[in-house]
Amino acid sequence: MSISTGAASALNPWSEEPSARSDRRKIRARIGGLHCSLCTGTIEKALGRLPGVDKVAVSLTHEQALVEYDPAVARPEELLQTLRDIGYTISDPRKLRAFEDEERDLVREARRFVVAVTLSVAAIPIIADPTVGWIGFLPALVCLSLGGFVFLVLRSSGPWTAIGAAGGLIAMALTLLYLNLQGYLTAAAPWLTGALALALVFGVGRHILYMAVQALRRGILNQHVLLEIGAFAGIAGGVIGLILHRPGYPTAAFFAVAVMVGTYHIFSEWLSLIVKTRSSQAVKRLLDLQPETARILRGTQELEVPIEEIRVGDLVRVRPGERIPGDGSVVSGHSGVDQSLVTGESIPIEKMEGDFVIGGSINATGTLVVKIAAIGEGSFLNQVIRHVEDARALKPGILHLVDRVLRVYTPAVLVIAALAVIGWLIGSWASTGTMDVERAVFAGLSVLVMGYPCAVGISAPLSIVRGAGQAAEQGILMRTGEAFQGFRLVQQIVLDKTGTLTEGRPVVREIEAVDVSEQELLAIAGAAESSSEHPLARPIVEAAFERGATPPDVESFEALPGKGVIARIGDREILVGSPRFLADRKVDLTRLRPRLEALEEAGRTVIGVARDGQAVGVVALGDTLRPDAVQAVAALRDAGLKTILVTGDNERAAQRVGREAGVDEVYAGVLPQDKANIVRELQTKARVAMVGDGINDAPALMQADIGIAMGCGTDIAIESADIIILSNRLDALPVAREISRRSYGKMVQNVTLAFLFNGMGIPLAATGLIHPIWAMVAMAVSVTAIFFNSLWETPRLFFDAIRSVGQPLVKAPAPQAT
Amino acid sequence: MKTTVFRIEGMNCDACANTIKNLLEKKPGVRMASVSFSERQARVLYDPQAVQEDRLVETIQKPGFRVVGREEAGKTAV
Repeated sequence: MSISTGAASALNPWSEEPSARSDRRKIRARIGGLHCSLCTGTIEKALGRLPGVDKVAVSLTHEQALVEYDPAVARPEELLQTLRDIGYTISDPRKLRAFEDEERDLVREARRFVVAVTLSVAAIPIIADPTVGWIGFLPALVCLSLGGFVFLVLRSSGPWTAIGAAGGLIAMALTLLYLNLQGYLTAAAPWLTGALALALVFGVGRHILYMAVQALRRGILNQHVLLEIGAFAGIAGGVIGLILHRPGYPTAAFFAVAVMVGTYHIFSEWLSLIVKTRSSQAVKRLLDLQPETARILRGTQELEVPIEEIRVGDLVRVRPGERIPGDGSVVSGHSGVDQSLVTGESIPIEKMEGDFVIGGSINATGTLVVKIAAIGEGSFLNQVIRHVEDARALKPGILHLVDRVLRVYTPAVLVIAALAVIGWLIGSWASTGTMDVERAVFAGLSVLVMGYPCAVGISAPLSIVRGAGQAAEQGILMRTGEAFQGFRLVQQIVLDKTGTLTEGRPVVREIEAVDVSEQELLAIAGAAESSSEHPLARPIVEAAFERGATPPDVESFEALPGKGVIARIGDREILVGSPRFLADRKVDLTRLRPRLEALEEAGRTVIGVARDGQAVGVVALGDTLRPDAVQAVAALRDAGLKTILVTGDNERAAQRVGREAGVDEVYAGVLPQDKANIVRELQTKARVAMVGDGINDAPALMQADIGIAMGCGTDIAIESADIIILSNRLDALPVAREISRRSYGKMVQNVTLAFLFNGMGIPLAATGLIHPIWAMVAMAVSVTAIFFNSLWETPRLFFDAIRSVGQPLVKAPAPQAT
Repeated sequence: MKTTVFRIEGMNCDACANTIKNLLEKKPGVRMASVSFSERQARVLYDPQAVQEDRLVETIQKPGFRVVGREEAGKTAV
């Protein structure tokens, strides 16, 4: 099962969506070129301004936009052209990114990183100056750490390549250092570093320049813009040095700083990509990638064909344990059908000739022949997929921490740089009567160079590496950045009933025996039911077996689908079935009546048993809470979350389950398609997390700020979720929230560290008295500090993260090959 | 249907018991099985027409456990 909406309707790079209002139309498009969470706001503003546009929703994680507009006023081509004008690309939302694409991006980014490191490692020894004291050795440390990363990056392409490359870098650095210390490079140093800076900014880092220009055109000051400001300030400082040619002016150092900031930026991009790719590959490993097939009947022949080749009107044979391939009606056979993952009904439903079955449900006991009425477009599953895709774009965004800080920080740096220039001009004029333009420009450029906190790019990915690693140890897959930054903000948690709070399968809950023992009652019921392949036979036999009873042998039986079974055991006639069936057969149920009604009211499925026309008892079946449900709900409430149960059950049964589990609020009688609407409604009050596993939960999982799927859930639920609980344990929910909270704390620490050193450097730089090499020192210190802060005690998490990406896709986690 | 209790030697832990349970439940004709490490026995509910008791003994012994006794549990009266 994959999320794709059937055949492409046209060549348009967008897809049409049904709109709630008849005079409005809705389109969805996939947007490329989103660089940061500030972009979503820009797109919403840019499109929202256009006449005829009602609603715009943009999702950063899924790179999609949903636009509702008045077709009388606006045209989709114009809307999308507006986006192209401000530098985004538009592509068809129906196409999924393939594994190979991700791999290619990763290889390209790794190659960029290696080239950038080479340039940096060349630049550092050239500007090394033994006369400045111990500070001169810090860049050497930077060199070493960068060399280490190159080794890590290249290790996947063979140990010799990696050793060779790292060795080559060291040799190059030592040679340049020797030449420098011998004084051979004094004249050439500015020109060499200048060439390196140009190669990095306009060569390897061309794409960053492009993105920065795009962002500027959109009026966004993001990381890329800040980087280019720093890099260009470095280059400008260097060029001025080359022109003025003053002794003691740090020309080469200015150029080298430009190289360094670029390298660190490329490094952080590579790291973010690793984090992103790793989680997307982890999700793919969970999905059932087997192509699904079905057996269709053509004349007297039975053919096994891929599920895509089934047409409406085909007859399909579905054996016990198989998934029903499409919506349709039963032509022959009868069987219990488990719809729990499709509709949330936990008790299998008996289906016989003429009954409607939903694609995706599991055929439990007998063989069915189904005439397909809908498959692909128009089927239940496709409606769900459509709802998921709508929710994808409507999902509320979250402004990432770094972007939030940058929104204030970047303008502040620019203002301080301007103040430094003005201050020096006025100050020098006031004290000496002439403006010291040279000093003023130097101070301004120093501020800009110092202003780029290059560790900021690695601060978020590194805290995610740590958090994801800790989560994985608890059987939790944190998939998106939202999972880390958003879960802690959630104040309401919606829990699906069937399969999430409960086991999702029927078990014997109550036994009421008259004149016989419980064991005997279960044995008789089990014997009769299992001979007829009744869907409830298994839980009854299970309960009998647990109590040490062995169902007796059945001599003959007759099954009346939808009603019950008449069986002959020994010389006695046994009736097992609905109370109504027993009453029809003139069995007196008076003594059991009050109990029976109480059980039915509680939402149980009740089965009556009679022997030789005498009622001997009833067996009540129902779904049970998971053993850890009560505790998990209590833990969530202790954490300050409002717990909400949603179910398709009737009010009374739902209230009972809600009380048992201890949730705050219950939504009963919810139709599968309405779950996402409930989440949307709750989102008007506060952020919402949704926990579920079924096909019908998928739109709500996508819509929620944080969607949480159980690892045993359906593919579509897993694909729609931000967090996946692999252990299938509910007590992982508070744990996941705690990890999210801690990771966010780490992220805040890291971002603080990233800005701290540069922040301290900026006022110093504004004095115009410090050497640009101090910018490099600030970088080296903050990057090192963040690495220590994130991975202290657990460096393994980082190495695992790098190593795990790009392993071939296998369903079971492969043994780590090293 | 029939329930037979097999006494087993050679189990070291609950994981062994789980292995035996999974092997038994995979056999056609076996309706249910519960294997206890602490009691060193397996209780199996099966259809004697579909699978013979000796086949079940073989299934248990194949990974190296030994069946040292068996007894049929009484059928529940109707």
